[in-house]
Amino acid sequence: MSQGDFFRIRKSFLIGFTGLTLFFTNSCGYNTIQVQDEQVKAAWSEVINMYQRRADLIPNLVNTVKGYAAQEKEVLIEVTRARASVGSVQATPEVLNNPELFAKFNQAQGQMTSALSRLMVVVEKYPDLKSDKSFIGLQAQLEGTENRIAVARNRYITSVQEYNITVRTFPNVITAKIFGYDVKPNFSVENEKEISKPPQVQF
Amino acid sequence: MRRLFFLPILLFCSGIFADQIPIPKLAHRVTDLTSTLSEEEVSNLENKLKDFEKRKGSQVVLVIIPTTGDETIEQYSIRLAEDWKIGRKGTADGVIFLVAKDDRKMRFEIGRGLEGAIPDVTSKRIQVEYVRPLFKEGKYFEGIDQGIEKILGLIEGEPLPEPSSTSYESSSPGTEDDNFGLYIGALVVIGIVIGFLFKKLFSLLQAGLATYVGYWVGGLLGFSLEVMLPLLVIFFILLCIIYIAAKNPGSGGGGGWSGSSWSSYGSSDSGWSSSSSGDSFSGGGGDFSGGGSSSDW
Repeated sequence: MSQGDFFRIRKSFLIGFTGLTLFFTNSCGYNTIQVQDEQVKAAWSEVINMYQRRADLIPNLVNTVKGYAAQEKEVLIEVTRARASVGSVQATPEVLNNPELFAKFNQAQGQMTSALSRLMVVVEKYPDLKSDKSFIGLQAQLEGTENRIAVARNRYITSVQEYNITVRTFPNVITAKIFGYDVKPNFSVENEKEISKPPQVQF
Repeated sequence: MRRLFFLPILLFCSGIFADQIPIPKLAHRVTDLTSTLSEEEVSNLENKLKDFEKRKGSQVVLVIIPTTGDETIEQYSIRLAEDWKIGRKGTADGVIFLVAKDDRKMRFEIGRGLEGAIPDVTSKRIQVEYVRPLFKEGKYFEGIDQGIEKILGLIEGEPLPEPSSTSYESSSPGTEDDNFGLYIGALVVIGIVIGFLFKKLFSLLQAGLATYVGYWVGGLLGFSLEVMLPLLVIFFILLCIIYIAAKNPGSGGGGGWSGSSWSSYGSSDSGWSSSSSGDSFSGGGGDFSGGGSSSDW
């Protein structure tokens, strides 16, 4: 084997190797998956933040309502219970890799939403309560928070859609399978419409 | 950078709602589609908001529309906010005062960076105590003026970064071109350096690396992989053929040059849009997360 041959072989080997490496680092979508996975996590953190914000408002709200409408035990207990069950579901990012937990988390938050809207209906019967300064403040905070939840959920939906499209299309799907990136659970749209409605508050 | 890529998904996402009222085009700080305000009143508000932005840097805009259609005012408002991106990038100090006249609903959409200065409770109070009574009497201009005054007063008390000298004019299209030129420049330099480094090795490698760099820069410029890859593969093969045919390893950086000329060609039709009119107004890239409050009257 002459030296020239050796060089040619080394040359083609190197070219092939470089080409393959570049091809895979770019086209297998590994980096895209990383980026979008991170975006999904960030969007999810935002959702949790907003739910947390709502949960933090509840004790104050319940106490304020109690001051005027202690006889509405049922609704108040329901809200308190929903608040407790929301707290019991750990909403860590691991939830995203576990559809069961995700569903559980959603259910708990959904109960919280409906308990709150029932509370707001009851409030209608108490004009004194409705004109109470601190209650008006809490109501504004609650409305704002509900809207933030809706926005955060929508953004989460968008980022998950993007991520899921990435991990399910060729050739990224191969990379995703190798590295164990699964499709992430999403809020369903019908559900979304129902939940994202903030509690109806009449003045 | 990645905006181009997000757009279809955003559009798809917002398509799940029934017929949506389209977002008006952003050209001025005051957008009145209902002809509620007289020209004098519009320019009065416009100047007030413009001066404020010059002084403080925050963008505040007013939008009056007839109705938000099937959407709630919150849904419409966040769509508008995401589209217009009022407020400075990073500071996120934009406020949108939205009035849906026929729905008799109004909303303050507060940028993320001002949620501390204008908590939901406060913006609700402004609406209920100052704006609503005037709107009830049909005094729209007075109500809006009051609302804006209060909002500006609150932002005034917030320590924000100094306004940059150009922030109140439309974002000059030059910045994007500069960026772009920078990329091309970087690409050429990288190509030449690589060509120089590998001159002693294999000329094919130069081509490959230049292609890779070109791809990488293309990625930075926001082209999707699907657009880039086939073209690049063809480009790469072509280069290989040229190189093999020429058998001329002395042309260091040639690959880099072709790579750059290729991406500059690719970018010319990549849909870069920038407002070019000198006097128009555009959002600075502020983001919103749904803070604010809505009221009826």
